[in-house]
Amino acid sequence: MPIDDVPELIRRFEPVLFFHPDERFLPSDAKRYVEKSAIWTLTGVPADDRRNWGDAAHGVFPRHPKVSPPISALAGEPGEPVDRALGAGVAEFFLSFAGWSDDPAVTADSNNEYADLDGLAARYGKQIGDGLDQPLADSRFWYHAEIFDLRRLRPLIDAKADSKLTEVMVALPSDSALLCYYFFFPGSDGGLEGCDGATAKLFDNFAGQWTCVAVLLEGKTPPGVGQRTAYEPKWLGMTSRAPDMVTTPRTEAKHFGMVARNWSLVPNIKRDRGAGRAQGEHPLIFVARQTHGFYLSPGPQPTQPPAGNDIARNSCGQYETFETLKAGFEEADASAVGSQKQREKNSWFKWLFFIGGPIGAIIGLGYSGGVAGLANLGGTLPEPVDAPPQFDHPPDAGNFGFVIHPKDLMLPPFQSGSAVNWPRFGVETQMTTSINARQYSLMLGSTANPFSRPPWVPSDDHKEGFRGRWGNRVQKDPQARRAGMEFFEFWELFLLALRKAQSMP
Amino acid sequence: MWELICHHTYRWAGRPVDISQYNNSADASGATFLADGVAAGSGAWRFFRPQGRVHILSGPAFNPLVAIQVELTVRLTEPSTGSQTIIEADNSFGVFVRDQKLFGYFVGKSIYPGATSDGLNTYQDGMEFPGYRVPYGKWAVITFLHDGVSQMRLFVDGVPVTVARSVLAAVPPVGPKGISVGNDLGGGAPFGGDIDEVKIWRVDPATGLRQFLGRPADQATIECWERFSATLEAALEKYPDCAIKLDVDFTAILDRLTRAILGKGPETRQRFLDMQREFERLWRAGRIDGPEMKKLFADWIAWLHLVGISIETDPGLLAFQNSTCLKLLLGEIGQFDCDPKYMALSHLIAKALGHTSAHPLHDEEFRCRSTTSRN
Repeated sequence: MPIDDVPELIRRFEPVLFFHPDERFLPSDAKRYVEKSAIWTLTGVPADDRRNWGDAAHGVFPRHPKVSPPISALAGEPGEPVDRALGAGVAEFFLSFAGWSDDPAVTADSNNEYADLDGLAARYGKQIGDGLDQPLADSRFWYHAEIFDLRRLRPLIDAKADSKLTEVMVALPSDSALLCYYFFFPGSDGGLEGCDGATAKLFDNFAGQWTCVAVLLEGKTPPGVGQRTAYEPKWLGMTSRAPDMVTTPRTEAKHFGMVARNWSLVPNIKRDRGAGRAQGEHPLIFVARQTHGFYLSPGPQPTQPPAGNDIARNSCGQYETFETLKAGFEEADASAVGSQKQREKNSWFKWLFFIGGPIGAIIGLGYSGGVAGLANLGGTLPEPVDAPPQFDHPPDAGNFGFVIHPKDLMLPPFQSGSAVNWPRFGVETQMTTSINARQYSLMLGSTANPFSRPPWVPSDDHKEGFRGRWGNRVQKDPQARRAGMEFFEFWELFLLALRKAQSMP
Repeated sequence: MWELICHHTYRWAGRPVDISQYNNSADASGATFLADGVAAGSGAWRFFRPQGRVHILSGPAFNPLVAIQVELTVRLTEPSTGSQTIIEADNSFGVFVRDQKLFGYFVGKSIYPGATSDGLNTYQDGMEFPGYRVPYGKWAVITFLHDGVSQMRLFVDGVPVTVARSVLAAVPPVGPKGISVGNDLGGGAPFGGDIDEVKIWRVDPATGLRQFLGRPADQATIECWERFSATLEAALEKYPDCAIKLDVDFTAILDRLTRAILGKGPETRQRFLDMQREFERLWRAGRIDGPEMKKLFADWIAWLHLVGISIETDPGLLAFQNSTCLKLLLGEIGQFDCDPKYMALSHLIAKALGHTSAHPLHDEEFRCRSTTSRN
């Protein structure tokens, strides 16, 4: 059955987000961010070389953005359109809202290694009323929601041609719906714990981050003509770095994925929404400081250890450029030798020993595991200590920064924190407001066409809309860890997370 | 360090979802799903039809393997005198039951001359006589473990049921036919019982690299190695055939030396492991050029000499060192002199070996001497 009332469902399951007192970036209206951003082009590789950015001949400085603000993010609104075609030779668009911290311009001598998150934070403000740009400060405490029914999901899954997604799809009841709340953070601070130095401190630092909380609903329609479908929540998906997160190749550089939890395990608060309306059920979610990972428990949370071959993350941010070298060796190994000979990929450093003769061999024998491949038979050897363990830091219980919640919700008592409502524009199901002749909405779709998307995000088939990065490209960033994030296909992450969650012991 | 590369629970209506980070694709066919396995609701597959199996596609998780740990939660229900396959990995490893005796094997050089695989079982290699037999109708956690270099062993419920047997080769990567659970790859050898859970680990191939990069380094040292790696990459790209040949040859040399050392008995094995541990400790602490490291290598090299191993005169290593390919590469790379601590480490090892010079990368005299000795 078609979904009767999308705004109704969106309001019914609005989450309650508990932020850390030290958090400086809050979920904000992405449309207002993009309207004030410059759009840069990327032409050529490598993407982390400033000579390939901007609208000038290769290698000519200074580099300039393709489009300067104001940007038009909806048809008929003033400014250059956000969803312009890439054009010949352009590989990617990226937004720059506040420029780079080490050099605001892109010149022959500029570093451009980090996005200017301090500048971003100053314009938005950390508290109420301390932002340098009042309209932007007012755009905080915002989400963008949309819903997928199976008719919308089916062609997306078919296009992926991934049997894992199909497997989940066929297991879903026919009246299922996936409600996605997207949260846009202008910046994401983040570093590596237990490490020293600026490289580690700013390891995960980037502008323009998208996160998601998803609710899988199961519908039941009573027999008879004109009956409304009643939806019940069954699963909750949350982006984070939790140990059991699933990732896709596109999210891996950010060490970011999604987990799914059975709704019966999700703490939530019920809300009476008046006669004839289903009660609200609002999950309580604790947001990690800096990384904006979502968790169902307060206090420090262990994160998924980095993949063994994620060298920079395993070495306190050192040796970032070795990643490309390693990847090259892996490719060469796979293509040159295949499965005919036992190979040790990831071991480019063996070459050091190769060319070291007997001394190299002596040193090579000193490495446990990696060179000789000797494992621990029956637990007789201690495991080597690798990189410092990493944690996400949602707020401690009762000690919060902002608490963003649905209006008229009775929150549990807490010791400290500032409660703020999700926006309301009159009646609860009114999702859109107008400011200075521009439209701003909590829904991606419109009331008339709730499954549509505005031009400032990619269309479902990723052929239209803004498909670029939401923050600056930066130099010395071959893995795009510190580049702005793309708007991911969170529905895909959710389905994979659901598949995994159903199989967890 | 072990890395989990595949984990099936069959909890979700039997779907073979891999919950390891590798998310390997798999499908189940011809088997009977049981909602209750080792525990209520845990899910399991019963394999008794000739074609019933869970098939896991081959992928990067299974290449390389080298060392493996395979853990299988199973219940034997059907008697048979033929092979009852629990798991078979294409051209790589397997575990099966025959007449209640438990077998584990890998494909590769055998201690039996001419054989192309090697294994052990609870009949010939049991801890006692008669050896362990897989009981009917009782759940058991079977583990087959191969340490990649020296030994393999079978365990049941965490207790060894075979002796630790020597091996002559590592476990090869899984071939293109993938892995079959509950039957062999061709079908026709079903397990005749239930399988509730499958876990496979390998030795993490990036362990050594992480250890190498785990030494505390200042910016100059990092840049030094990044420059070196870029130069090396260019040299390898210039001589791709040499790159492959040298990789294969040196890996074989190191493998042979490791086996030679481990083959010198338990005391040498223990000293080897102790040396690795201490080396790792000093390396990660950045103390690679001091008296502790000097003593470590002096003692270790002296011990190797005592048991008859002379790495510095190893003919294979000398031939490798004098090979045209290596000289071509060295000619491209040039001198390496930007990491003083690493150079000092090379010098102290050279001294322990009785060389007057050190590393060929940063010692012209060493290169000349190598060339002269070849001529």
